[in-house]
Amino acid sequence: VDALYTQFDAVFFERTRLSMMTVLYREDQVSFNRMKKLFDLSDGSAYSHLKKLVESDYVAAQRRLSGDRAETWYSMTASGRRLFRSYLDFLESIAQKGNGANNEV
Amino acid sequence: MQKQPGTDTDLSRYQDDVRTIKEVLLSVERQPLFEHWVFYTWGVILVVGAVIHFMIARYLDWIATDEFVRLWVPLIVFGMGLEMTAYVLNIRRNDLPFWSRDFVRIVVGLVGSSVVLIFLVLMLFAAGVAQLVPTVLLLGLAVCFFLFGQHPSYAHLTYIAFIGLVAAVVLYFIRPDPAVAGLLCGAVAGLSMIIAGAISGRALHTV
Repeated sequence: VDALYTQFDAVFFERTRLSMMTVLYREDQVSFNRMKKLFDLSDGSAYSHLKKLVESDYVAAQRRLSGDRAETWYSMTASGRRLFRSYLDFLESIAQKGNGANNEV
Repeated sequence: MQKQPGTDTDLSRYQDDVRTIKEVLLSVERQPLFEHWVFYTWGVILVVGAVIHFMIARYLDWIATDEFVRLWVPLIVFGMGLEMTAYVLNIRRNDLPFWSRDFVRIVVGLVGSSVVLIFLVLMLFAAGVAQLVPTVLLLGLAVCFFLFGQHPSYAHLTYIAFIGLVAAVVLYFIRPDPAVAGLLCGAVAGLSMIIAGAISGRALHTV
């Protein structure tokens, strides 16, 4: 485990943003309102988290008309998907190292 | 930011992340595709259709094609309209996209299964063994339930599918009068739908 290190930035490591990235990894596109409902966030809080993900180029935002109102939909960018995938691989490697260490004991 | 993950704090942080990812994935995967009442409406439609089918078979002299076009096509179109309404209401309530990945997968699977089923029924008519149609329809319902049961929100359908499967086997061996076979087929299919609706509704309230 000591030999492992991460290059994941603070934008990604925050719990709410990690949750948002997880949903976006599972689903192709998620609306702003759904993000709010899923994580029980206020407008301001949801916007702030999503803005950070968009600014880091992990997530892309797109305004769309839905009936008579406009809504923002979010999707993961290719770099966001790569990052999330590599974080999953990293977690898996830590778990494997942990298992290896336990077996040695 | 570069981090050395060797400390207990780091490891506990990674465990928290794994837990977070797992919880989020489970909650998203359990999102239902339809309002659960659609199962009840299908149940009622199938039972009512089966009773009318029985009355027609006993008291009217309709040929099978007439019965299909004048009875079952309108009922199925009505049911599909209600199903689409249940889908649209669900996506509006939960702010989901219309063409979600799960929806596309399920629709493609159900359309494919339905086409296979329709061809099987046509082949039975052509082969002059129309009495086997109720059995094949129940088998088709079981296949659709097995298929739909792959969605995490509807895993219980995998078990309910066995009702249709067992009923199909029983029908095949006892070979009742065609009117009775049609009535039993509709009743079993409708009952399966109603049970599916009850379990889906209960799951929705307990999640």
